[in-house]
Amino acid sequence: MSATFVDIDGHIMEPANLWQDYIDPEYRDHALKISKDENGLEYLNVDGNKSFFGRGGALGALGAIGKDVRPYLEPGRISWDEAMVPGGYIGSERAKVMDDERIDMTLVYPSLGLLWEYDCPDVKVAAANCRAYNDWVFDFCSEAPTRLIPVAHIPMGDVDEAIKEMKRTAALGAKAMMMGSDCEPGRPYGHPYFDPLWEEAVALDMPMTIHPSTGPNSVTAVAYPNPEDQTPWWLFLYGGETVKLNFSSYFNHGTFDRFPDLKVVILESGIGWLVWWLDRMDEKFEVNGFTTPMKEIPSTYFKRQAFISMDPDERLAPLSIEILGADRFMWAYDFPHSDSILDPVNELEKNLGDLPEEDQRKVFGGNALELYKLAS
Amino acid sequence: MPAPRLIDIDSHVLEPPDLWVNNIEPKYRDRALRFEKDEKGWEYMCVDNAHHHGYFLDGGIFGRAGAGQPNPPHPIEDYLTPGKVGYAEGRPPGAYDPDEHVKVLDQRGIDTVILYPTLGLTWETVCPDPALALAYARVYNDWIAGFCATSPDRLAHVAHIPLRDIEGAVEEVRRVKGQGARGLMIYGRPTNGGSYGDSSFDPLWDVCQELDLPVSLHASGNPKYFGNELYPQADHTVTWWVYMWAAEDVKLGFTTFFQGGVFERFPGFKLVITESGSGWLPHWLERMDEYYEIFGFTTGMKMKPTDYFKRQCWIDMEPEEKEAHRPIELLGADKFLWAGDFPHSDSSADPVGELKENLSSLPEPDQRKIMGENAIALYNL
Repeated sequence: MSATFVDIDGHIMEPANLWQDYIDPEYRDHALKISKDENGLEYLNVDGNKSFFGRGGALGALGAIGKDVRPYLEPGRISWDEAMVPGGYIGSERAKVMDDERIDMTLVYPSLGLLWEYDCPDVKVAAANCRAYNDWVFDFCSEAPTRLIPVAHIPMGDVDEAIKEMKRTAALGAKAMMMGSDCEPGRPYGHPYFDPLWEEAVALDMPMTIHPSTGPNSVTAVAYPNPEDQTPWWLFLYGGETVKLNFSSYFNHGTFDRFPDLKVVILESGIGWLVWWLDRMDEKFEVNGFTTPMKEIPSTYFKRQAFISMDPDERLAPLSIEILGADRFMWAYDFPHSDSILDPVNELEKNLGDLPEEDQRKVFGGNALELYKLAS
Repeated sequence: MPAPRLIDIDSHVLEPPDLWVNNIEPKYRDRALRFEKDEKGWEYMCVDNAHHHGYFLDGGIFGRAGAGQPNPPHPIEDYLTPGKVGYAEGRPPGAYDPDEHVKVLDQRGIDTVILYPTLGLTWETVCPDPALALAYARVYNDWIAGFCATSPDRLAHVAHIPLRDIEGAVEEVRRVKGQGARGLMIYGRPTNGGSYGDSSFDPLWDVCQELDLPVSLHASGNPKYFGNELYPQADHTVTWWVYMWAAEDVKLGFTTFFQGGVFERFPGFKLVITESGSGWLPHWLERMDEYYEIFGFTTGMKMKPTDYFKRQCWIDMEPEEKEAHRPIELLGADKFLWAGDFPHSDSSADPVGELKENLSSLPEPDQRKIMGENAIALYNL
């Protein structure tokens, strides 16, 4: 069977000097960079702050796919520069990885970019660093423009800055926006504060994607406020939960009623929880729905306005797709992060092989081509 | 074949509002747990003479705790309108009178119930004095033991063990074992906000293992509950949201047992996940296993999380969970129980009917296990 394979969430590895090179000159002193602490261990330096999770000399683990992750997690053993894989920062090299892996297109997401937003209280500085990354990612994608699809990182600490950067990058050809999952307490993305952003997103027909990001407000920190107490096992396990929390806030605030054409994509959070979560949302809605602004049964909104990506090897994926239908499911490789598996397309084909071919095609790439308006 | 035994492993009493004032040791009488009214005339839980804020601590909607009774005398909206239905008024008789509770069991076709507190789920996190917390718990534990002693075949209970003083908690565990408690209840997440995997809790797991008392993680009115991580201001939290996320608090506490290697250190310790649904479990175990393969060496575990689960954990399903048969098909029936949650506002009026319907696609021996046999074995009923 022939199908187009679209990986909706693959990562680059930012060159350490990216922000220095691409940031507006007036913000050069505030550019993100990699520094060393008093013990000589690398950390992501966020305008003078240590990144909440990007510290302790183990940044390189973000490039460890398919390798023994132990040395990468040994503080100070492998530097960010040493960990860089060519497909992580050279567009033409990435296209070769995609050839080897039979991936037709990849929507491109950051790595270090997931580790800093909440450590940067100055929204102007955050916006400048987002612009720098976005300009770089357009350059990266231009080396294989039909296959590497740029996604822009918008600064969510300030809705006006987020709108500004969305409009700017949409004009440059970004096919989706990335919002980090870590957000201001009391102001998750369903909150009416963000309504002006959704209004613009609907006007642009722009898919809004929520990707796990780390920071002091993320769910990973609830039981372990001290980042040193969060093992990588815990971090990856709970990384998706802040996405789920944020996603659920759209229901709590009736956001999907206010913006019935808004499209939200849940990334890197697994999908096995979804059937149960929708079931529970509906069930609690029957009793307590009147306490929310929602007009419809919650699962209605999911089927109308949300999408979710599966890991290629998730054993519960076929069951979830059978129950909810194939229209809302896509998949993601997550190259080159250490929690991902090699050979995703073969895994995917094996895993979904019992579904009807039409459904397989949708999940492999058909849904993504349509949602992100990509030319197959 | 005889009809299956039906054991509801988690329903609730609604404690008498004056239970603590009347029964606490004299030296704590002026600090007894009780209801007071705020300036608007709305009830709040007065814990150590202080007014605390939170969905389960103030706001004048305590009547909702009884809204899940059959044919409630008020519409649900009234129970959730501040100041409208008071706690005492909202209580159905089955929630405070043991003979009446047995009638509820008869009506519902339930053989035996394991009872949990209601007010006991609200105060522990905001009671910083460990000695006072233990005094509050002793009052409840004495009362519930007496409540259940009137119909020992039908009424069973777990004791509430507060966690700010582990030595005191261990002492209370030994005491309630002598009173016939079938197990112990702790909040979904530690009172101090940390991790159950922390070795400071080890003496507690040790005594539970020694006395073969299963520990239940129960959703609680922790004002720093999980759903509040995005909503520190109470005005954003609506009842729907609170009930959606209460389960996640339990899941988080549950997961810290794995990260901390508790099941490795205490292979005979038994943990029960209550009132949190069951549909998330196969996904969560799969995800825990998947990351264990890569990062397991960074945790206290020596085998796959699923293996610990199958050795030492149980979970209750809600009768109204339509997809409950799926986790059971995936994981096997041995670890599943069910809970009626009488008389709370989000519970089913016909739990046994819904349970039977939602389990009907499973083989009959599996249905019998979930309806009662697993609970009988676990709690030595």
